[in-house]
Amino acid sequence: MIDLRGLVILGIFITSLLAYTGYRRRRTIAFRKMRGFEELGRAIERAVEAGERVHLSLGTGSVIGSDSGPALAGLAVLSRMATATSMSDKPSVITAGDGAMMVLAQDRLRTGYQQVGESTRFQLTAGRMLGPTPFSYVAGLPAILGTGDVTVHVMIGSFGAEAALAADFGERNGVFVLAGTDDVQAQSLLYATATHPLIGEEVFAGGAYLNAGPLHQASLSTQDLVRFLIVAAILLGTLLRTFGVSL
Amino acid sequence: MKLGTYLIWAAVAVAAGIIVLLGYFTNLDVFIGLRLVLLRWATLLAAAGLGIGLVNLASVHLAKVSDQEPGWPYSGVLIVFLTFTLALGLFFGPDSPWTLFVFNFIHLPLESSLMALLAIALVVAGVRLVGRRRDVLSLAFLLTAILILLGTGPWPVASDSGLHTAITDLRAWVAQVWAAGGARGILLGVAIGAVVTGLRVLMAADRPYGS
Amino acid sequence: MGEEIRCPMCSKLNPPGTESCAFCGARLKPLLAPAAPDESSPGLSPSAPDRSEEEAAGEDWLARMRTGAAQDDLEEDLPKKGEGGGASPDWLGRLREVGPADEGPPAGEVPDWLGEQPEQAVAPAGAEPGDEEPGGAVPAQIPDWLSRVRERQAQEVEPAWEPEPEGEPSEVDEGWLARIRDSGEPVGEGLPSSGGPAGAAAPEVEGEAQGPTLDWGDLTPSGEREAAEAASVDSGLSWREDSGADTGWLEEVPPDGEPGTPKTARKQGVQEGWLSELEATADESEGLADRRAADKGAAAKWLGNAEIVVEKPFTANEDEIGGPEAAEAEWLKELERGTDEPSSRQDQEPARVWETAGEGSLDWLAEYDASIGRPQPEEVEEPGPAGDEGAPGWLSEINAPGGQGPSLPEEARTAQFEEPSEPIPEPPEELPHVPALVFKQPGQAASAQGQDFDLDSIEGELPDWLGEPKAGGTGGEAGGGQAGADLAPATLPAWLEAMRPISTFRSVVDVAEEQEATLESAGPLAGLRGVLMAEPVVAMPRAPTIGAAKLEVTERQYAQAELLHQIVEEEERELSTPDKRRLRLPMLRWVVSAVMLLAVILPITVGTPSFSLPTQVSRDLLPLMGLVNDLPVDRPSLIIFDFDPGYSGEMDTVAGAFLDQVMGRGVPVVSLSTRPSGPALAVNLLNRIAARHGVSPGTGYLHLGYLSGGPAAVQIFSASPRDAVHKGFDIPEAPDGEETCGGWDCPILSGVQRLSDFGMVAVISSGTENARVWAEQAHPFMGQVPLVMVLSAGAEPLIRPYYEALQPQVNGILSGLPAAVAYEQANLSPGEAHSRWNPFGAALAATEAMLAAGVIYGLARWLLRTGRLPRE
Repeated sequence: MIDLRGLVILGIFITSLLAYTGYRRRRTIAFRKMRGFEELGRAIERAVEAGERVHLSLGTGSVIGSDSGPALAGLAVLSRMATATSMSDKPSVITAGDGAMMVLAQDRLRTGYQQVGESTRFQLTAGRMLGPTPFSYVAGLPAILGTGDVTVHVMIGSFGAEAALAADFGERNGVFVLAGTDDVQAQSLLYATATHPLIGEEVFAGGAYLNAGPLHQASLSTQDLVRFLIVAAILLGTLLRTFGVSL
Repeated sequence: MKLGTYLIWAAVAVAAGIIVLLGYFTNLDVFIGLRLVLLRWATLLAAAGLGIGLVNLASVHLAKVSDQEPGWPYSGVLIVFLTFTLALGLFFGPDSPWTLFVFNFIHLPLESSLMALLAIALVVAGVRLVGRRRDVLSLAFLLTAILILLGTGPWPVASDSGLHTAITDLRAWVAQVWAAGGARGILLGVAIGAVVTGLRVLMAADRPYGS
Repeated sequence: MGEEIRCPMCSKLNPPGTESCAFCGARLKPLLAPAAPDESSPGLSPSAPDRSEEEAAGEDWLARMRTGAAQDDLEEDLPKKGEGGGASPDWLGRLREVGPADEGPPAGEVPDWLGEQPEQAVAPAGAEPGDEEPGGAVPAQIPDWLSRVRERQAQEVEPAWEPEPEGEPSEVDEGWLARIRDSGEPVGEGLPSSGGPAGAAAPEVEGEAQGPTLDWGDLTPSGEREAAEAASVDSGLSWREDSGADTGWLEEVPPDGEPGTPKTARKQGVQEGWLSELEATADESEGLADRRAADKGAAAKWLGNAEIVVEKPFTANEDEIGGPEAAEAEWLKELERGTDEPSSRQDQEPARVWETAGEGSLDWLAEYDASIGRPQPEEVEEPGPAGDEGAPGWLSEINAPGGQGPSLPEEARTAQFEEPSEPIPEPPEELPHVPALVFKQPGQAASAQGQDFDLDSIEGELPDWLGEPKAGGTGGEAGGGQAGADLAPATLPAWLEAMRPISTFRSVVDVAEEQEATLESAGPLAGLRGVLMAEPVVAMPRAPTIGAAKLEVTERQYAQAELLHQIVEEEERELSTPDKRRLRLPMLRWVVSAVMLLAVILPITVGTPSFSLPTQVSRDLLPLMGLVNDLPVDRPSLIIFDFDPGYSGEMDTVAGAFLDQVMGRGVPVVSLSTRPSGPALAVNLLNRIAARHGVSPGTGYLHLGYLSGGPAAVQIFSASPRDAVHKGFDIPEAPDGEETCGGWDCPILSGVQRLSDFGMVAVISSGTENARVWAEQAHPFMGQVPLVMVLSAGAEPLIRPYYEALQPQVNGILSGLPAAVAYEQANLSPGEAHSRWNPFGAALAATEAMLAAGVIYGLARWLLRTGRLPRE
């Protein structure tokens, strides 16, 4: 037996992804402004010019499971940050709450340096695991934010309620904080504690807004398309159910 | 990485993803078995990654201690207790009384304290929110939080009053209708984003394993 | 001895016999021509005993002049001989070609007319043989006409002077001189290389030279007269000789009797005064000085105004002028100004004129120029017709209007000076006019010149040849003036004309007459006239001739300029570095912490405040309690502990109420956790509850430990629990120390092969993710086994849809402390929930109050700021 519904939905995703990728090569798609990512670019530039450090947190989620999605989005942002901060006096620091995610972060950082020809500047300790548990991970953040001359604190990954604590640590140190997670509870907490919170699926838009590649921008368009389809399906189902039509 | 090596890793990643997907969308035993095998391998890799992470943790703090960087005493304490706990668990087991003692009287209070700190940080952030971010959404956020709190906990006075009942019902309505609905939409969007992100990895467009 | 000698420059008295002024260094006595035949001027014959020899030599040189000279390029340009007007320009060229041997009389020779009045001759005091100065500005180089003027002046002053011969010669002299003066020939560059007082004078001199034989040795009064006449001719030659000038022109001078040739003026008396001084030796300087002294007070205006200048400095403050430099300026000024007072020229002693003329190399020229620059009197008439009868040929050439006489090419002529369209009329009585570089207004006449000099006065002294032009002149003063006015402009030789600069390069400058110019009274140029005013050019600010261009600045450029200005200012401004580390206590945090602590501690310790227990029971509570009551006691219940230690405070309370009921019914409980810290949490909670109900571990509850792998592991476990977990956690030991069971081999799990073999699956989670994973991953494998969610208050909204769905995946839900309290109340077993109700209520109340205060404070600031902005 084949789950056709799942395959159809999967097909819709793949088709729209490819179609938007081809469409993007011919035309320019404009996305709505996201102040967080705009400020992120400027904050990184200032940090590089001032010789300060940039910190990226990939969250406490693991590589396997649903919490790996935001972490992969964080890796896309990491690739752009690596190229942007390759010439900084103080290289970027990538932290994660999972060992496997830490390995991925190190590999992505090395690739970013290689792309700009600064592979010698890569340090293995640039990618770190602060703690296996969420609160132990957060407990290790003040040591980086307080003594590492960090001025940009980016949190893109799977966080729980501890994200609010991590963002609060950044705010207390007066650094630029951009935080996003897939957890709804954490998002509400980040709205109150972070300077630039990413609500909802905005955490997956980092690659598109930082020009990580055409497929990232096509992914964003695909998400919008599927979202509209889901909305339409919900409304249609509600109407049908209202009028007693069962599916 | 050379071009040839990159293609091999990309092929492996794509094949594994397709197999797992087929194992989910089909009931073919082949794909289901392969899916389970791959998932077990992933589990093992995740556990191995945990070990690698611990090694990285230790190396970073060891370097910090050796270089006398700022905050190196804390790194030293971390290394000491890491070693001690690791030894304790390796020698006595994770469910030994000593390990449980350490967990119950050190780990648990520490994390409970961090949770309490989170509560205070949230209260402080809530108090500053309107002053720092002067917009309607922030005001609505705080008012909603206050409403939920009023509908959740007991009142010092008039806990049995109709107002309390009304607030409680209002809280339930807000939480289960508006909050749940919004959360559901957020979850949908997050799920869509996760799917697309996974598809980029499956299509080898996004290679977290390096290029 | 004699009287003191007054310096012509500074007008200071010097001891007699002094050659140079002790104050300014000016020469007091003019220089005499050397005695060498090739160097000395014939007019400056040193001594009388040599005159006999000199006479012969004089005749020889004169003869040489007559016999011929080399052809000249100017021959064609020079006016033809015999024409009214004078000799052709060839004489100018021949003037140059005449070698030193032919120049003038041999040394020591003095013309007869010059020798007739030795006492009146100017003593060439201080004259040094061989002293050559360009331009002939030596006493021996003074032209004859100059000498005649001086003689005339001396004649007027000294009664010893012979009266001027009347009649024709004087008229001739006047006319000749006037014609010379009136000639429009350029002087500057148009002058022959001889540099004499004029090329205009050259033909005259030349003609004169061809005239009567000069007896240089005869210094008798008449002889001196003649000698003076000759010297007037020879003097022109003499200075040329001294300067090495070409005197070949003298050879062109036709012999006596020829038309156009100047008659011998030697026979006529000339002013012996200045001529005699030319020949006077150093010994006679004293005598001359005496004569000069006698003639003190009188000075020829045009030549001797220096005397006037010296005596009467015209500066405002006489004390300021004391130096010789000032004196020099004064005399020069006076020389120039002397043109305004032509009459004074006659009064001046020729000696002084002679002296002043001997100062510089071109003093005579300066004087001549000055004389030319003077406005001519109105009565100046046009120069006489060309070819005056009485004028020598060379004189007539000079005076011939329209270019008769030596003429230069037109370009050279015009380039030398700005000539009026018509020849400038010269006063009749003035000296031969050589056009100066200064433009003269037509009508302006060298009135001073003409007025200063009266040829009639020296008519008797002029030689015959010199008298011819005067005779042919207008006659009388008026006639002389008219003749002078009728003087034709001298023509320049072709070669000289070619050398004239192009007029385009010369700006037409209208220079005001000197007498009209203001007299400078201060500064280094005090005493001079015609000084350019500095104020209009230098001192006074002038408006720019070109209007300042208005800079057009756009708004963007202005904004950018302002931005740049701000950036530059910011660079200078010291900015305080933001202090990242807080140096002061965060008061808000401390206050909030204190309030929260008090709110929690006070109910525990003091017991106040206390809150009433909830009376309302949620609609979810009874179903859950019924479900638990319906659990089979022979099938274990799987309890999943998926929360972090930080959430243990809440979750232990909520889960405790639930587990208390479950374990109270005697349902076996098996714990599992997908988090590393989960098993330990499970051990704590289950041990505590089991101890309350007397349940033993291993038989009443069992721990399976940690399930690694996240959602995948959940799916694996759901599919095959025994394959996912191999060993239990915290397995109790037997009294002998051995483990009773390994986990799945324990009696509790003896009948469990699949997930559906459990009696219930309860997930205790603090987050929605884990709950959803179990609800989504485990549901397909659970069958009819109920799934219960024990959640934190924050996770309930997202899990409730699973509970309220039509086909719910969650069968029971318990979330939050209030629900736990109610559950305990319903179960009639107050537990930890009841004990935490009051602190919970107090903390919530404090939190509500603080949040409300923050909202009010933020709104107040917001409103106040928005209200303040419009006022500002």
